[in-house]
Amino acid sequence: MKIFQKSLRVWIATASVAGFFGGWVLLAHAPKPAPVIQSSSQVELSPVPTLAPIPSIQTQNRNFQQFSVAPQTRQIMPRFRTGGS
Amino acid sequence: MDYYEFSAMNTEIVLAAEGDPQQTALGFRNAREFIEESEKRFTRFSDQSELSRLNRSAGQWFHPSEDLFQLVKLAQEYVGLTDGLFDPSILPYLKRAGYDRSMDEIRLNGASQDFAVGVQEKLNIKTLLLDEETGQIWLPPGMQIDLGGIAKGWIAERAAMLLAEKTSPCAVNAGGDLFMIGLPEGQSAWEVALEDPRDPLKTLAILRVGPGAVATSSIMKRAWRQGDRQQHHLIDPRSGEPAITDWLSVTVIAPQAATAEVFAKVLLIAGNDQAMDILDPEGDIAFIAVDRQGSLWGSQNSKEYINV
Repeated sequence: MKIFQKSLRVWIATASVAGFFGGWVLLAHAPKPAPVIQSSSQVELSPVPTLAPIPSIQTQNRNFQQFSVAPQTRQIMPRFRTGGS
Repeated sequence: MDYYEFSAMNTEIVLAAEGDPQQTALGFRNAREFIEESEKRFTRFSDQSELSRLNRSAGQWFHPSEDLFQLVKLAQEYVGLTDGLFDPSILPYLKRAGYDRSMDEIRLNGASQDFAVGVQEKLNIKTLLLDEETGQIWLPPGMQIDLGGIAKGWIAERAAMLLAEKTSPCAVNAGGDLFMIGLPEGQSAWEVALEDPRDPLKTLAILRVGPGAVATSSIMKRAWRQGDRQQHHLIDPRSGEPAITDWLSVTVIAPQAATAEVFAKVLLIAGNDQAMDILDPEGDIAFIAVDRQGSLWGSQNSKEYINV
């Protein structure tokens, strides 16, 4: 049993060292990554999606203005009125 | 200021003038005669009117009076100026909505419940022809026109001019379509009360306007029930149905009465979303709208006229 355990430890150690150096050699001979040649001005960025601004409740349309209505307190109203017919 | 009131065109007419009493009385008489004569000529509710005869002549050349020719010509110009939102050839749609009899009769006996009335396809108003040389009008076969959206203002302005021949300052109010000449003595403006469309007895604001025109269109006054539907007289030519709008009334201040009347109607149909697409923000037309909550909205140039 002890012999088996020792043999297993030696095998693991040997396999680890061999794997390490094998990987080193493999990476050393692998093709190098291509250099980045695009300048920042050549990079095409996809548009960032945005949300439309929420219109203000006070000004539904920017060309309109809202007038505050106060109860008319005048004793005599104008003789002319308009309100459709 | 002297006032003279009477009923015509299914509404109340108020004439006002300052000056020599005899001349004022003469001016009132002339203005009233013109208004009553114009109503007889341009109403669509009388088979004998000139407008009804024009509508019956569709398909052949018609020789109208000079006034009718000018009115139809003016109407066709406003069709172009409003991208077709003003369209006097919507009469079939108006009849289909139940407005095939006078408003007085609708109020008395109710509107037509015949949904088959006027269902034929509406014809393009641009196919109406005007011959300037002979002064004739040609309506395409099947076309019928209604001058209700322009005639009242035009008549008010012409009546005011007749009155001004005798005395001024003066003004004519034809059911909320006003035309004013000069200014009342000692005053810097004419005052006009802006009615609350939800309750006409209430005043929302006082308008202070100079010589020129004021007109209001409302979906509240000429309104009726047809079956289970609430209808009104402002037809959207794009849908052929009474306009669905977020405003209850629109009041326009403009140099000419016909302009004010046409744009009050068109802006009401356009509503909040499209009103500024129609109106030139740098132009001389100002408007004030009342929404369903009774709030007042105005074009940027309306501020100078309003006193709330």
